[in-house]
Amino acid sequence: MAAPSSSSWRRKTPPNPADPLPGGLDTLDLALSAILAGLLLPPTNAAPGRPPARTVHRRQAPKPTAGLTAPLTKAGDARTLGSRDPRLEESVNGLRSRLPHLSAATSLSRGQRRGLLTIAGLLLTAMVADPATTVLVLVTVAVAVYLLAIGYRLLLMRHALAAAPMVRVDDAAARSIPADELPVYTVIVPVYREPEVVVPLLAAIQQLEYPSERLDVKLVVEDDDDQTLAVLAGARPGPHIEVVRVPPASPRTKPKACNYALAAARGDLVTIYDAEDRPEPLQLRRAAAALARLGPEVACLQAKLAFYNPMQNRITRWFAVEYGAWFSQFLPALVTVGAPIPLGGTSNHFRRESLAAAGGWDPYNVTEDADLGIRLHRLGYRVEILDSTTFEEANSDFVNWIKQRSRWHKGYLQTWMVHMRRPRQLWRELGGSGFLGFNLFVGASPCLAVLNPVFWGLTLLWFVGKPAFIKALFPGPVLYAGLLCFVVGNFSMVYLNLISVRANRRPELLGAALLTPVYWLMMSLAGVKALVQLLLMPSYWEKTAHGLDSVATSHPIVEPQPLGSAALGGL
Amino acid sequence: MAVQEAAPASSGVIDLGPGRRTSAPPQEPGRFLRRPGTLIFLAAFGLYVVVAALLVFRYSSFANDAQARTANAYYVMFSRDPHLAAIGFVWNPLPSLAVMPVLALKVLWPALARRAFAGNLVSAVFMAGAVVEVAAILRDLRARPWLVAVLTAGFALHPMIVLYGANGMSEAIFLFTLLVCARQLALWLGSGELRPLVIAAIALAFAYLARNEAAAAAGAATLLVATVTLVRTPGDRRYRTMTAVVDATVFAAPFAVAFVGWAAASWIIVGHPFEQFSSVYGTASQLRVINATGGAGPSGPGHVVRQLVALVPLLPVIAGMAALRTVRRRDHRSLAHLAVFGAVVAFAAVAALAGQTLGSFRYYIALVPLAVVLTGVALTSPAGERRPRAGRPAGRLRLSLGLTAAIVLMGTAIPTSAVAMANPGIGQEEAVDLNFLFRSARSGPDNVSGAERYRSVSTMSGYIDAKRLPVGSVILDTATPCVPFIVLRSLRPRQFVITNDRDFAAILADPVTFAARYLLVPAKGGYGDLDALNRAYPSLFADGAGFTSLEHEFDGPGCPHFRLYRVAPHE
Repeated sequence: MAAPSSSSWRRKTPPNPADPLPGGLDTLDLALSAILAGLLLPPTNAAPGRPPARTVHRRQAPKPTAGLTAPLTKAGDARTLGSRDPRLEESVNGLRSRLPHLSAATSLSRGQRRGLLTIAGLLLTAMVADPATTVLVLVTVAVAVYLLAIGYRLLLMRHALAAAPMVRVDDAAARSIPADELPVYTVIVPVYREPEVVVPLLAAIQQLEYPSERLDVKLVVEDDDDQTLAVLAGARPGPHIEVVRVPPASPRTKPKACNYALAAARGDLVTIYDAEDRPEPLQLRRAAAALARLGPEVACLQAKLAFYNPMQNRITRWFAVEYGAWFSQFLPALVTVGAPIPLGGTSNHFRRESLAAAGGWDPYNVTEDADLGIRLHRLGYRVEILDSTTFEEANSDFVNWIKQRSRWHKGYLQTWMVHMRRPRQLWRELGGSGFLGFNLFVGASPCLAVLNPVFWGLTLLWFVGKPAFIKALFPGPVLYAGLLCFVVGNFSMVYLNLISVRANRRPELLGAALLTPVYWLMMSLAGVKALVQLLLMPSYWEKTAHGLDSVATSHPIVEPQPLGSAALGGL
Repeated sequence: MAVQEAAPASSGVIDLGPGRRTSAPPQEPGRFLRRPGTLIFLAAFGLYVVVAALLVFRYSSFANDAQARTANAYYVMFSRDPHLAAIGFVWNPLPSLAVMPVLALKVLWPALARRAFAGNLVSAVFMAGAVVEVAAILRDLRARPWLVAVLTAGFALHPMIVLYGANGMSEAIFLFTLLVCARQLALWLGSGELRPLVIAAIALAFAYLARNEAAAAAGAATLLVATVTLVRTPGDRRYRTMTAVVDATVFAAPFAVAFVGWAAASWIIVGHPFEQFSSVYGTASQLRVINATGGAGPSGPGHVVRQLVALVPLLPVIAGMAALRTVRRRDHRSLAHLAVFGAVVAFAAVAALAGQTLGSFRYYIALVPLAVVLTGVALTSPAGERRPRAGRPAGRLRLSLGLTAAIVLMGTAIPTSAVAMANPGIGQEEAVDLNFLFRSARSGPDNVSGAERYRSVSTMSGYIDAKRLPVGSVILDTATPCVPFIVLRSLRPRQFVITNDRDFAAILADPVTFAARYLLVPAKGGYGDLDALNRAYPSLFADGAGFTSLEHEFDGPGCPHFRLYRVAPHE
């Protein structure tokens, strides 16, 4: 069992067994790969899931509201006074004035600012005083976070394999509700400078199996978007379709527009679709049937999102694997463990009252859907997953994908900062498991996406040159933990994707699942981009964080496929 | 358990997810203890521990390989250079890793290390677990309680199972992991659910980390998975093929990672990916030595058949009955077990016939669980078949027939294998280890009693300890027989410079500079030629190689003839 030492040091005295240098496996890589990072960090923030059987008391928003149509009685901010349309005012500042601690209007609270500065100061002093130990501590903390994140995802997958607690309504049940017993359904569809999607969109709305007299479709368009408005006027949509013209006001974001539309919503149930979405025709009926039977604490049903162009290229295939695992495995598992559910960008079916009581969407948050999910959970509502699919378009262009993903990272970071303003309150409201889930998904994902390249770089460096400082960074237990993360952790995250591909019956995605580590590289690229923007261009970060720079949605403009076309594949 | 509600006025099912409004029944305290699995485990564990205590404390019978594996774990934790790579790469790591937590308790009970009893405890735990799995498999086969009891007893009391549960060898962990794999694979064959497939895959990976033969099981079982999926998945040819590939990948991936990961670790640390075969201490090398010294027993197909028959004499009958049921009644339940255990046994036979291994009796131990399961298959009916009711005359006749059959089929294995274990012609190693029982079978110089060998080791260990040497004083090669036990037995393990130490080669090359004082070297010839000290200083044993003087000679029974040379300091 001779193990010739690969290091060249020679000791002239008998070695001290208490030598802290790591053991033989130090020649193996020391890197901690981030598997988790983007893996479970797709569209939105996970909102909390179902708590275990305890009585859920719904927490009302501090002020009882009569929906968002009530005019603002409190001034709040000098900027809001004046000749502004009260409805617009409410859309922009409703949440901010009612639940300021849950609004992203200010990125960092005073307490957080102070806290961050303190931490930065401490780190700086520590680095100056004893850089080796400081870095060692940081590495140890990072390894611990990785271990937690990996372990949590494995736990979730176990739940996912054991049972899939989705809300299922079969076709017969969905169709069996007579039309006059169906609730009025508000369908909000923001359309941003996309005149060419208008006609296909109207056709898609026709496809919905829901009586049009009970539909309240709100096509939300910016007031100065003349092209789209013109096409809309020409298309002459039916009486159940209302074109909502949002007056130009900053922040020009989708959530603000949706809030504006929500103010005039007639329906008891509300949902959002993007202009290119193709929901499964019975989705509204299914949601209505389920919500009629679920308790009032269930404020939202999240339908599954999938792509109608999954096989277009490598990127879309990876995206499809990610979405599949997220909506079919991880979200239901999060529901089981009682963690917050980050909502998807579309196909969230709300009870209008609950949505309004929760404050609607946060116009200042880039990932307003995720934020809403967390907020709902904090206020005592619950989100369930509905077994019905909406088909979206997967981003197939590399640059666009990076932009979209870095925006999501920013949004997650933003959401994390907002909700961590009062950590103790957050803990109380989410519960221990929910708090963990929130941090390990919403908070950890952008951070780990950035850390990954660091550790991968260390690994590479180690294999190439074996510099001594790396040895010092990973003493005994930290090394073994790190190795565990690297080998077992990496593999298990790829394996999770593999399992998901099988469970969702998508064998054509096998190759993409196996190549997931390359996808992680892309996610890290997006994470680094977000970080660079944060550090080097904070005001630009602010603007894009609030979406002020771009009004466009996340999708590039591509001719969408009508429902039922071959592009949908065998689903 | 889904709560289902019928939609009003028509058919249609709404599934709101498991346990939505029903609370789980409160768990009675003590329910866990009353579960059948727990009782079986405790009974089996008790039996194996008692036998282990007899072997170790009463008769000083130690299995060589078990001792060596426990010693490897000991080196990792308590040697002069504790590091994880000390676990060695000639054998797969799981048995040593499993012993480590128990060895940590040596402070409380020194015999765990000094008599290597920790290894015995671990094998007892895992073999008891194997018994529980066998019972579970039989219950899965829907065997009646009496059949489960008889066959489980037939397994648990089989002399080879008892011995290998008690003696600390890796067969216990191996059988346990293979049983988990086979059971879950059989469940998957029956239900097609993903979860059992995943568990089976992970169990298989662990089985490989215990023993290499798992690779044979992996190959056969993966083929089975692919074929079954291909045959029973609905859809067009392409889809079925792709799904079969995905299933095979899901099943084989953890094993592949274990295989590649272990080879990679070995390559990086020791420089060769398959140490177990190529090392100077590996299988091939040992075979050469054994063949050269005439220690190899009988071989050839006749010998293999004799060994198999000794293990389970009525195997042909059992196999015939099971085959009849499988073919005529399309009962697939035995396929998983055939693939897993059958492959291991077949591989052992082929390798022995090809002269690649020693063909030891214990290599066929996988035949025992296979026979038990096949008996179960032969005596039960698959789900869906009408079962005869006990209580009626015909039922009672069937009951007694079945009982008799079960007792005969497995009961006959007990005396035949006991006899085989006493016969050095068949159970070479077992006869040696058990020679305190079968004194009359002893012949030849190797069949020294365990107590005598133990005394020789204790003498050497005690002599060296009495010198109260500082750390790193005595160089010895732990691959040589008896040396691991010397280190285990010693109260001052850090005084030894062992092969697993990272600076072993350096110190051996220049003992004076490194202040090593003694070299313990065995006589040349046989295993002595493999000894590192003999290879470094060919004349060391004969005359001290010019820089040492003879300090003491040890020539007790059961161990090689050792000489302790004292390093003369430079003038």
